[in-house]
Amino acid sequence: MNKAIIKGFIIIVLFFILYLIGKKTYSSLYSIINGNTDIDLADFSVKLNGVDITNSYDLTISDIAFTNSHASSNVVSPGSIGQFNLSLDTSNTDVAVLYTLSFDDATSNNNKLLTIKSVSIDGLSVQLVNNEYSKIIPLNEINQIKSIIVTVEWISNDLIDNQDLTSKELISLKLNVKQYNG
Amino acid sequence: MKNTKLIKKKLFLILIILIILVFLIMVSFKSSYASYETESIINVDVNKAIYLFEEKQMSFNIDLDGIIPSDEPYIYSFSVSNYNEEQRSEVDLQYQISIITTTNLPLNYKLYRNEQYSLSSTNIISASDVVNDTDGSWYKKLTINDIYNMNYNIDKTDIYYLVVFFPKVYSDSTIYQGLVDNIQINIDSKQILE
Repeated sequence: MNKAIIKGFIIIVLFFILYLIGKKTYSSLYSIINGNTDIDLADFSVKLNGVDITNSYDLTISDIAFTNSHASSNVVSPGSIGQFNLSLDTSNTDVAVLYTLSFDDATSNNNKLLTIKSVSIDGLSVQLVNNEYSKIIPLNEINQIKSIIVTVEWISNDLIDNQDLTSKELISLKLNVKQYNG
Repeated sequence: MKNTKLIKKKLFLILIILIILVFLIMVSFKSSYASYETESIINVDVNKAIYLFEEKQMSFNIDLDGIIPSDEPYIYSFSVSNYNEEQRSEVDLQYQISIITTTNLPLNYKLYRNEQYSLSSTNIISASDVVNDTDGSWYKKLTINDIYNMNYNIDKTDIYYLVVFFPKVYSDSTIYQGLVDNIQINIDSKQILE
């Protein structure tokens, strides 16, 4: 039995060595065949509001002007309506992408205060399904910067308004951008 | 015995083949399904408006040790503000006052807003009703119909003067000895939305 184990171990080790050698050999041949041709990997670069989020990055948006004729303009309160813009820049990407916006607002989370009122992309209103919106950016449009305008509202609710609001958050959203494989 | 060894060897061979297959599948899967992906969280963080409504001296106990029947009324004051020493309300607000008193003493009430009591000042009490509570006790409800506003962009304090009349005609009566009347001032305030 011990001999069998040793044999088995040797076989596995040999297999991995062969795999590694084969991998390296293949790479060498590949580079010889192509001379010094530099084959680039397809680029994947995503910027949101000018910030590179290619490798994921959490953003905080705080420069929102809320409209409420009965409240100071630099704060948000029940009845306030405000807008914020997101610019999704995939212009340095060489593949088609699928992006998904997922909103976490007061309709789905008791700890949030704001509700999505509307979302428009490049001037066109879009319909959210379960607080989500997905869209493919095909390769021929990949250089166009998407302008996303999100309108939010603090809908007055006696149950919420009478609570201590310090621990509650306003709203958050998740942006997922991935290569579209068809 | 030999058969057992043979079976063990075969099983061992199968195990090795499986390990190699799993490895190949993993390598293959990785290269086939590798794709670019990024995910970011966007939080909205804007300061929430301060709602501030300060009330001072909102409850009084009037007993006969403190007042006696007199031609001169007794005056109590209270105030409401949309600010304190540190900050001001950042939203417009409105409030309405109501007053409830017990009915032990033969007292009459008038309420004045931002003006001292005088013959020419305006009593803002709209109605005075004696109401029977669900537990059978009687109380007096003083209704003030007016609703007052306070704007977020200016410090505002409203001072109220509650004038209590205990007519002198009761000075000879002893039936009110030891009795106390409680006056409770309720203010319902809320943010203006429309």
